[in-house]
Amino acid sequence: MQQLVTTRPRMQVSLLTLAALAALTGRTALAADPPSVDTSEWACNECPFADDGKTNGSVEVGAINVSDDAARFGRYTGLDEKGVYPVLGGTAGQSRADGRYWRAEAQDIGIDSAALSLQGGKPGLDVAIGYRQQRNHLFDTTRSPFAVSSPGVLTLPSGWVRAINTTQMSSLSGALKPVDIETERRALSARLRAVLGDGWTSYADYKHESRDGTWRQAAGFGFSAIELLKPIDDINQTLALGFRYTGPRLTAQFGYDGSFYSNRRIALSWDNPYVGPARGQFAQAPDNSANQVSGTLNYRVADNTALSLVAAFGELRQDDAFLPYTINSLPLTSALPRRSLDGKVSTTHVALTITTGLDALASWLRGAHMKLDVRFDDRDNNTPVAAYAYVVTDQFTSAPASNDPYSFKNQRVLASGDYDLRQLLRFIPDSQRLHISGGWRHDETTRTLQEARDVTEDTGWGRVRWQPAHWLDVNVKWGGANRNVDQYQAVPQIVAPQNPLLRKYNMADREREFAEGTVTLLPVAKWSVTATGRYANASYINSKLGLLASREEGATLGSNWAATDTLTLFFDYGWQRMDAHQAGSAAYSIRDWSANSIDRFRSGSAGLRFIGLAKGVDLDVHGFFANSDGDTTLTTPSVDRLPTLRTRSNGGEVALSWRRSGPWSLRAALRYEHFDADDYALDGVLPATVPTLLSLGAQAYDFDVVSAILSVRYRFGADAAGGDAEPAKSDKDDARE
Amino acid sequence: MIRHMKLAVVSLLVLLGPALAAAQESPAPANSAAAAAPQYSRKGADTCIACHDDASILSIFKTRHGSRTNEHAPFGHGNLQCEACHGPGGAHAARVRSGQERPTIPFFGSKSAAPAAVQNSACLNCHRGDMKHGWAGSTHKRQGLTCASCHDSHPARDPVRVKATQAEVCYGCHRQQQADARLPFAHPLAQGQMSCSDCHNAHGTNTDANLLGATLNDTCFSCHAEKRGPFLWEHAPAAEDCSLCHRAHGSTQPAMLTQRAPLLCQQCHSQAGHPSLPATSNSLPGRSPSTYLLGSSCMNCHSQVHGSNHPSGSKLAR
Repeated sequence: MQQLVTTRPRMQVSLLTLAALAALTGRTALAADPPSVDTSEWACNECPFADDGKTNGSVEVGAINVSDDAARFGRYTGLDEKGVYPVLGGTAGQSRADGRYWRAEAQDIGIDSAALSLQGGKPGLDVAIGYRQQRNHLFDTTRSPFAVSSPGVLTLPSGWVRAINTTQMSSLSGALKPVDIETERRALSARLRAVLGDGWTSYADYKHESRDGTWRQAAGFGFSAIELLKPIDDINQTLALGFRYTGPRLTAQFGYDGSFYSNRRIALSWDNPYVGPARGQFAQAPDNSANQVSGTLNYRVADNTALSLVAAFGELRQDDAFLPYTINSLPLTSALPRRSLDGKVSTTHVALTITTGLDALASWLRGAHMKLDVRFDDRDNNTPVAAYAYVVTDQFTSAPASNDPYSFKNQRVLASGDYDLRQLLRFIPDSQRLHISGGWRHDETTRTLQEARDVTEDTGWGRVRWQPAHWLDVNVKWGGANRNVDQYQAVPQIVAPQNPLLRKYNMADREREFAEGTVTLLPVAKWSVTATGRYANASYINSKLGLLASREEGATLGSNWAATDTLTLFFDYGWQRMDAHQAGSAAYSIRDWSANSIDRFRSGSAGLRFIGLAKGVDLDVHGFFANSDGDTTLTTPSVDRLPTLRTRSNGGEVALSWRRSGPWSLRAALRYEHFDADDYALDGVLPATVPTLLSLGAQAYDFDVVSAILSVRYRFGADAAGGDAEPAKSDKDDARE
Repeated sequence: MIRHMKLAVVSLLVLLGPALAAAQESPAPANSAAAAAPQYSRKGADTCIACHDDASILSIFKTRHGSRTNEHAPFGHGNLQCEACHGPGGAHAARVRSGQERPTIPFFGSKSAAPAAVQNSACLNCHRGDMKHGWAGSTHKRQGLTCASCHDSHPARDPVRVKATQAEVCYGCHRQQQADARLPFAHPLAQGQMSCSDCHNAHGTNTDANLLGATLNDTCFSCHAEKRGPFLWEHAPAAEDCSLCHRAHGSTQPAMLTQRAPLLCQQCHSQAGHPSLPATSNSLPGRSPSTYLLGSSCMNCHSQVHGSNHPSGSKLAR
């Protein structure tokens, strides 16, 4: 562990004291309670209450036909293979006059993006459980000669003839078998909310998330590498418990958050297909845990003054037993210094925010607000340091190396303000709006065991928001930042030293400027047009090698128009470009090569929604495109250009729903998607294309898929009259609050 | 740095003190408004529904707001029903002379001229505790957003609270993020499997970009716990800040990287030998195909870029 600046506790005490002072100097000036109203005649006879104790909901049954196999098309949705899939889902629920209720929902049952939820409760108590799964199919064009002989062990076929490179692996072509690279994520969740009274509530959230499948990961022997099928079989359990208090001026939350990661595959070993050592082994992610307690206090000092204090203290732990230095027979000079890491990282986050209006200072300051935000983040790595023998890629021993437990500390002060200029420029009519705002931020980052210990960055910005009429809103922001490194020096424990001319970009002196703007037009009621633009430029002013400069530009144009009560039209278009300029030194001296990369991206969509196209018929139509191009030019000093990295995606969907009077409705949709890509790192790179890489042969995506959906829905109970009841707070459908 | 912090805090207190002192003396705007309290309708919701009987409006009765058994809900016994949120509707519901424009409903109507803070107070009277403490001073509040800018309390499903539809609400303003979601490598928002609120709290937090976690990495680790460590051999940027190598809203590069390897790696690694060699088109298939450019490039060997727990993993190759 490295000792960082030791004044932190004193600072925290100081901030707390000041916060308390700030809070105590103010007297409540809260909004008055709503006026009492005689509601004795407010019978609500026309109100169609749904808490009649009757069960209502809907069931949807149908089928989806997918025209072709395409991993990317079905990525995250499970529709990745040609064929027919079920459409099965529904909702059901009941609310009773005594406040008790339950809701159930099911979606995509039978495919790999299924979700289920069940929620129930009574006044003051809510309970929910949910299930969700998600499939991530990365590639379906891959092949491998390896077989899984036991969990975490990959073996080559008997009779495999080892060779010095892939082109001489005579048994390779006959041994290749198709493999899919995909994982499936399943999450079970449970949630409890209980009102304890007097403003107190409690909450408990639990989630059990498991993943299984295979993923692509490479490993090497010397300068020869193999792309392997890494087994994925892990579980992450999270638990959140706490209490909340809500009072007229004070809100508070005290809680615990825990995360417990468990990996059933701590290692992967594999036969070496090359001439050399027999086997290799790498470590998979170790079991680990994170525990944190936190508290938040938010105190409303006055109507326009609030004070917030957040403090969180946590610890990350990891103590998985080490694997051996190598599974091959090699003469080792030393034993493992420890059986396990006993990794410990303490984390501290403290933030104080004060927001106040300045109305009371002077009449012309009405509409002025200020915010001060002070934040402290610390990752203090207390993991024991030891010297470990180094077996290079399971082949030969090298000089021992000591681990570097990195610590980081960041302190931030942010002060900002905004002002309604109409208070000063009285000639501006009330119908207009002219706001100015600005801010300054100071960051100080301290790192251990890295090239730059102390880095500071100051950022300033201004913003003008002008609303000359209700139909026009102009918002422009611009600013700049300056990052300074106290001292950049080589890290002695790094055995192969970095070129002294290099500056790692996250620790390099940097000057940055940025601007962004938004113009929103409301030409007519319910028609909005929004245009945005942004620009950011960064120069790494003292860097000779590494990233020297980067620039981003982008613009968007979008519109939504509710042309009538039943017809809505929309479109959007986006363009962006990202440039990077960097340099290197092949001779390990001065700069002798450089690279310019330009990534361009254009995308857009357009569509309409017509409710009531014909009696009981709704129509949704939309189309989209997304094209990217990436060019890299190297100067070595001859100019060399890599092939363009290119993706082309376009498609659309037409969906019709038809509902006659009664409980039945019909849904039909046709969706088309085209995707193709040019990627020099994948295209034509078959298992034996690269002599020193036995690859899986994954190819860039190229597909055209049409999916057709036909389903019927039956509604029952109150929902038969239209619409669904409020859904259960399922993990899938209820976005986080 | 500490000096900067203290200076900043003291500076604000200098401003804050008089502001608070003055606040004690100045009448609250709400009190002023109360002095000329507008009238409520005669029969509450029955008055409103006489005209506003669209299914899209009446669907509120399928939500918690429309519960008559919840004493805190607008339609709970004795509560102000529609006017609990929309404000006193007496003037709006009263008869108007021919040619006279009907007065607008105070809050949330399409023509409401009430300031955002006043409109929001209608929600915050009940939901202050739901704000997770960050609303005061949050970016959205300071931009003048109302609760209704994002939330629609009438439909059975508020679109911004449904995972599959939430992003569309956010994209109404965040057009750049809408475009980013279509990048070839992006989180599954377009598939409805993720929502903006899986990472961000729109009501405001103390972190950059209103992240849910205490830090950016904490936010990422909530789904990617296998990358959390601590590892025996850490990769410093991975432990510090995921965004040093990844673009969370999408990228043109696989794994949402900011740059294609080996160039990404060579922005920080310049040791003598292969780390410093430029990977040119000579490394492509048909010429001298090389692991330095093809497949996973540097990660063909140094594949444990998020850290390794293998005793021989100091070069992140085991």
